[in-house]
Amino acid sequence: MGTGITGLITDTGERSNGMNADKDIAILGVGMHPWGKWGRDFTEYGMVAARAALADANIQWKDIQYVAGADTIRNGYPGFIAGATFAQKLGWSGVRISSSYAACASGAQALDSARAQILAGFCDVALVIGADTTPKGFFAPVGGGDRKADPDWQRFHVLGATNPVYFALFARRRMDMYGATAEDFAQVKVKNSRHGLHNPNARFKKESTIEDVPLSAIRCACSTSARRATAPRRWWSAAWSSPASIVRSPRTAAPRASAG
Amino acid sequence: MSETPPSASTLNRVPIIDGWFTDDDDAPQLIGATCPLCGTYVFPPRNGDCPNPACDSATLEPALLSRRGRIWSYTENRYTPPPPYVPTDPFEPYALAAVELAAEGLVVLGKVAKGLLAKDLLVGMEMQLEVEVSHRDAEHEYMVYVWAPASPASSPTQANGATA
Repeated sequence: MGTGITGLITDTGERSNGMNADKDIAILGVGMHPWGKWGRDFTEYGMVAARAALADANIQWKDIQYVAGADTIRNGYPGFIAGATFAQKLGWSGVRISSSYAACASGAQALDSARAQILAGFCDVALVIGADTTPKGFFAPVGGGDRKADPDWQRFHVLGATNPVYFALFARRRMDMYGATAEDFAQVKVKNSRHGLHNPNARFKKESTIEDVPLSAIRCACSTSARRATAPRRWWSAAWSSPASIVRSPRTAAPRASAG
Repeated sequence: MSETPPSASTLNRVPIIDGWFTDDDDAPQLIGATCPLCGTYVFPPRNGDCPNPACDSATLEPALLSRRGRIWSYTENRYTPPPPYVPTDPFEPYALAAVELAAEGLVVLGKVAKGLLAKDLLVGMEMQLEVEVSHRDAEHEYMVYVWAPASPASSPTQANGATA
């Protein structure tokens, strides 16, 4: 599965030196590679998206002053340096670069990086490119070997706790505590498919009704509706992403009780 | 190489991961850590910094955790997780439960005792820590902590208990 999404942003106000948080910022153009199982290198998706955004904004690559790249660890070294990888493909121009790796939030972080550069007065026009490919099936720990101190290795080895387990925990709790039903979660798929119908780059372009959504798809719907990466986080939720096996309860203080 | 599977009694019983639980048939306990300054608990156990943002402690001390807690949420795995998970062959679906330990203010995710699936569980159910076999290789029997329904009476739930 892979896609590339990009945006081009710039300030629209007066050029100023130093921080100016009141400055207007606009997205000048956008581009996207169609979602799908294309089996290509992630940089190809990013390039299609970047070229489309440049054309949409009617701006030349050589006029871009900052490139923010986004990718995940799954694409190896070129992914670690996503900004430089895309800048190289577009042709080195001396442009300044940043690379964001923040799992599913990589794109948002790259956009934030470009925005901060513009607000700080370091540049006027930035190109943000995010592109990714993912393996078939469950995400699994990257790297191989027995890495017993790695929380990601631990949760898979000890518990078989794949990512959908965490989404399902939230869904099940909602069902038991507040009476949410499988039909409620199926509505997410129905809503998403309605949006996909109008997007030529969408992964799925067929409208679904509640009756079309099988139980397995309801599980998928649960997972798309619970993207923790973009949800507001409180400090204790950090424990979700460490051995992911544990969370601190939001409401319980932590008295120094002797355990037992 | 012998074709006969090794008998369980000759296998060396070892924890699936070191230092996370006491392997005690009668009353196993999770081993976490607690902050000597503010009392915050963590699991799995670790040295190092207290996760409480209002606390400056750079150390945590080992601590045994409560054996009982209530289900915060639960689910079941119906698809085989990828390695490094070691599945049974054929794969048997199993449940996972996140159990809230009131005294520690922790929710600990664990497998649920074999034979129980999501339909057997509810948020709020009282659970108790037990230890059962996760998987075996030629020489070892790897033990894992599991959550089982807390039964006030007699012996804890065993795998696939078929009694009515």
